[in-house]
Amino acid sequence: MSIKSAGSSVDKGESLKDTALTLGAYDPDVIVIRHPQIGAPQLVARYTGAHIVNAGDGKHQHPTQALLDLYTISEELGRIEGLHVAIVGDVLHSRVARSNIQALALMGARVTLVGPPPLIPRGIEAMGCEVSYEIDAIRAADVVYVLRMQQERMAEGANFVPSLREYTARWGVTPERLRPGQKVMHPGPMNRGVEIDPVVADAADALIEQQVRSGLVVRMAVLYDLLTHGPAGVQSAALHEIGAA
Amino acid sequence: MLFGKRGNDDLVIRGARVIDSAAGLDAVLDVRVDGGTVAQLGTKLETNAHRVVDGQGLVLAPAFVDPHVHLRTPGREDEETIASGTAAAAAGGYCAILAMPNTEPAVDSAAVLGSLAETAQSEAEVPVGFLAAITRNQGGAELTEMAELASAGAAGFTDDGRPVVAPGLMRRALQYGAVTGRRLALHCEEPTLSKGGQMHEGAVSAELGFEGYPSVAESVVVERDLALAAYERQPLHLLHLSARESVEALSRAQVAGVAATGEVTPHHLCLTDDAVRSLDPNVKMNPPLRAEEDRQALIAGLRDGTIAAVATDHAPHARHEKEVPFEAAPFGVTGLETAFSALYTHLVEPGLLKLETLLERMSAGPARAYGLDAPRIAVGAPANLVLLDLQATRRVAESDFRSRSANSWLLGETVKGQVRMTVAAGRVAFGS
Repeated sequence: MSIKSAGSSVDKGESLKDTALTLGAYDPDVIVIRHPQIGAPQLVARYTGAHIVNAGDGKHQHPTQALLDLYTISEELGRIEGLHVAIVGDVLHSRVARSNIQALALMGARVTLVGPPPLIPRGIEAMGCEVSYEIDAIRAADVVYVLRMQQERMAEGANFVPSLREYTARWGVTPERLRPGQKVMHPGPMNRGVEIDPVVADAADALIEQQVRSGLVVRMAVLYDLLTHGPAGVQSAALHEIGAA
Repeated sequence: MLFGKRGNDDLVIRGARVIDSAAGLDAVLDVRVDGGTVAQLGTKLETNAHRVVDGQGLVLAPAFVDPHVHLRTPGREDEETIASGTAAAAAGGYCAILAMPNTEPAVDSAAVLGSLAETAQSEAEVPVGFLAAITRNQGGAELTEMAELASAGAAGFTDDGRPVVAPGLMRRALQYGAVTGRRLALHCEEPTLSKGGQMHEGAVSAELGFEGYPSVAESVVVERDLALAAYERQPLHLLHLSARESVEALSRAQVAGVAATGEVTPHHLCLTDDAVRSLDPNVKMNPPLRAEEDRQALIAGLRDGTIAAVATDHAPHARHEKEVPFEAAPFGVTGLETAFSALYTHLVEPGLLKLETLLERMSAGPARAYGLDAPRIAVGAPANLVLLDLQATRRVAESDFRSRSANSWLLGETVKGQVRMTVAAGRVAFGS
């Protein structure tokens, strides 16, 4: 059953607590929640007995995206430990970046964040990654992970970047900035011609469609585990590992 | 300037360790109160048929003064009233509190102030001083009628909750200090730097994805206001300091001769931004919890006197407003009923602060910052006394609060140090 906030009681001002209590009354096994606010899944977990899967909470975490990305890398390159992954772009607003930094560091990969200073959060090195403001830094990586430039966040006057044109000129991932054999990933949806050159997106080394396929099996696996292993302990332990809790 | 119930109770407190560091007093004594005034200190005092309180094993100190309380009245009586907030203050060991003017409507006219003073006179369990707004409706645009408000009994002036953004207006407000004789109390926050900020900007905000509210958003305005105060030769008081840079700036200004005082909250002294990992809206406040080095600077500032006062910034919020995701929750936590226990447990017990220093910074320090008479344990002084049990422990529970709100960061925590009795303005306001 899919519930969107538009047209539901959420639109009428229902609090998340009451939405959780209402959904909980149907006695579901699993609630998958995507919410614009950090910690919404934890709040829902407090008021229902269901297993909760975080499908993205604000700028905080997107655990299944990180799982499917690790699965994709490991299928393609045979390992994760020891690899060097460059994550390029708007890290500040990206839950995908945060889950991936945490998951990759946990699995022993080296992570370098690349982008303009206002889009790299101050203090993020403490998560176990490096930071560079130079796009040339991506050449050293085995995998270049390109983040979506969220145009809605780059509105005039926000001043995170002076313009998307300058961003693309300076930090766009183009064929010239890559070496042969580097794998390129993107969580989608892409802005072709902004953060990623269309030639890069369509090249053989791009793993973007594999990511989508991995998403299907990994998310099936998450649901399978939750529905078969039963008690909440298994679920919370597993999600803790990848930082959902 | 203080409005509330007063009393002329007769009382003998026997055998407590009496500490009043201003008077150089630290001895086991009996204290007799006649008609609400301290009448005699000594051993084996006559009881004169007064009520006798056994103080053996307990500490008797000048009662506390909280310079920063939100009573939410008028406008949000569902969250706190003058009666409930002052009952909470009495339970916390306070004999006087100062209430902030960011109510609905704001305390920006003598009429609003007068009606609050009248209510407090009959309902307040401990005397209350009301701070008035610096600008009309705290809008940051036009000065309030400060001279008239001072005549009506305003204890000071503040736009707390909001900064005075325009330096020119800030300067005018300082100039009026020469007319009112009352302090300006300043909430220092540069709004374009703190915009959207949910928590301290640093490693924890980077990891959690919350928008950051950097230390410099506070310290840049602290520096500005100290410069203006120096130029106008007027005193000022800095509210709820949170950042190391702010403490350093305050210290430099004091050395240069500026009559500046500062306050710090129990939560900034006990917690860091690491607590926000819990995503609990009860650790969301403005200014936010900062890094460990900031906490250490605040403790050092309190210890050496740079920071004169502990202030709770008691900020009650309705339950449903805090039972939401962190970003949707309002800023603020309660503190009146837990301040002493929290600080005794987190600072005195581990040896970070002497008990005598804590008692001074919770009583005489805040009183002096606002030009109020400091509570004293001396013959002839009005009885403002707190009786403390340093051995007692308790688990902080919602059901024990007298405040109408329970948004405490200490819920469920076990703390040591318990208020047994509070005498405020000659009247037993809490305990037996």
